[in-house]
Amino acid sequence: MKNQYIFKQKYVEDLIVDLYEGRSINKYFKDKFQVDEEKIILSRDICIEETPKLIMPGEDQYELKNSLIIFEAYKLNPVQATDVRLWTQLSHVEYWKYVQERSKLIKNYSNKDESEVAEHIIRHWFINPLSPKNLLRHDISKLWWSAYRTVDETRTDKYELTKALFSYQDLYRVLAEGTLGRIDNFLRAFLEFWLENEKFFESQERKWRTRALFRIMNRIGGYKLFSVLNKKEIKKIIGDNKESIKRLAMTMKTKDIDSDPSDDV
Amino acid sequence: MEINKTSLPHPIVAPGSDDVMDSFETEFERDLYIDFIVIRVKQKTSNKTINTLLKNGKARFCVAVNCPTTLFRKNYYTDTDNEINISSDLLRDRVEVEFYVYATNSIKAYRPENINDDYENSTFDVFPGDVLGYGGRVIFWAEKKWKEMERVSSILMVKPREENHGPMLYYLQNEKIIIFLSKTDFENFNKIDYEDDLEIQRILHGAIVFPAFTYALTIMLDADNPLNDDLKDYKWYKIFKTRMETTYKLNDFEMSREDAPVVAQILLEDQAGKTLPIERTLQCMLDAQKSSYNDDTNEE
Repeated sequence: MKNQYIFKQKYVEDLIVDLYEGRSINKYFKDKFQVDEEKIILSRDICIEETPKLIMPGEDQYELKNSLIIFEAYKLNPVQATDVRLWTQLSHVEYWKYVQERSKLIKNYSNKDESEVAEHIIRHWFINPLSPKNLLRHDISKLWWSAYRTVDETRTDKYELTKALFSYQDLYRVLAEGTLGRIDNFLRAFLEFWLENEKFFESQERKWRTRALFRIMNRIGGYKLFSVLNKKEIKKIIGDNKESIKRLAMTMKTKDIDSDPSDDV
Repeated sequence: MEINKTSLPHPIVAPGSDDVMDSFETEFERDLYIDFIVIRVKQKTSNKTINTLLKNGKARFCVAVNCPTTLFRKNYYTDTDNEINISSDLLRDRVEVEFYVYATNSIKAYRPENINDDYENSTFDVFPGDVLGYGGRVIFWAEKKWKEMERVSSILMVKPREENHGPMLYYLQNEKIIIFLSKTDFENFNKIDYEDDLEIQRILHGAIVFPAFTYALTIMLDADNPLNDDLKDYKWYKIFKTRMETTYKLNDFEMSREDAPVVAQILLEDQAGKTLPIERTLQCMLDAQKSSYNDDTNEE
């Protein structure tokens, strides 16, 4: 086992300021990031056997596979996994090429306005500010956190729910970024419901029914503690509301209401 | 999860609510250790209906601990009085603790004693998980170096601008508030040895830190300012928020943007001497003037 390198906090802060000031944007278009060796340190408590390779964007189910790779390689507790210095190190050094590809920086941002490019870089390479939303958006930390939130050792395939989470982009966004998704029981219950009700979420209806479901569950969550219910009880509540979900989905589709169902309860 | 009072389908017991004319009282303490955090909680309600349900196992007290930064949410079932240990690997920065009593079973025709007369003869069907009482929320900071939060350097940094001369500028969209000084001012600032000089620190607080705090708080305390949504996840914002919620002197403030200058001064209050920045700055100047006068007098 070897200790993991991480960026110093001040280095992270300075890099962000440099981007906002337009001083370092072109560095992110290069093949490799020139790290200032004096501004990285060995973490005292984050260790790794061997730095794993990631599957590059474009390969089938690359994010799901990478989620399992990162989660298995980096044995972190939640507090360690909120360390922006770690994720900034990984996105700038170990997985530089991966983040470049995934962010489509070179492909799509070569001729854009400086401030737009800076924002895009910060979104993909940094976690700024530290928040659950940004932990689940950063190209590398999202891989770890997705697996952490959904791994279930009681299942035959402990990553079955992780696979469900990555099966549909909107699902990931809503569950990962919304308040309901932070409730363990709800997250797992919903993903199980998703797996068990394939027909209900068939492709043409998927988008609107998912959004309608979360809108209704958010309303119920205003007076009911989902966190005290078990998965079976939560799935029953979702099931009991199927007709309401269908009706609301139809209304939203008809009016093309693209509201964000991840509204806080 | 703060209870959404507008969407409650049945009356609940809660401080500040007149749905039910009874109380829900809570006591809360916490201690931070290296490996774990201890929370001590007491909860009780004066409502007889709920107390009967509690006794019969049809309702239960619960303490919900939520740490947004680590996505930690867990309930602890405390009965009336309990101690909760949480590993410090699970919590960092702002932690919210909420107090509930909820139904564990379906209850038909629920009607709590001392219900508001507005409900007339209404009864309610209540289901498992439904909140019957809400005891409010407390906040604490799960940071072992809690005292570091009170240090200005934890939320503020100084950097140079491109221009040689010009006013200070502030930048809020960062984990720390950034004060941009002109090149000349920044060079002079770096020449000042303030690390070990309390008097110099006090003057800098008045001249540099106080305006920055006031600016940041003016935005933060303006509920209608759309910038608030963009800023609320930054570390400085969370620290300000927590300090405002936990500083006794700020209890009586309505917290509108007009209060920003006063709030800034209270947040900068010297914890040891209990003096505000203006008091310290003026005292430093008086002392310096006196010292200079004495030097002049001695020379004569």
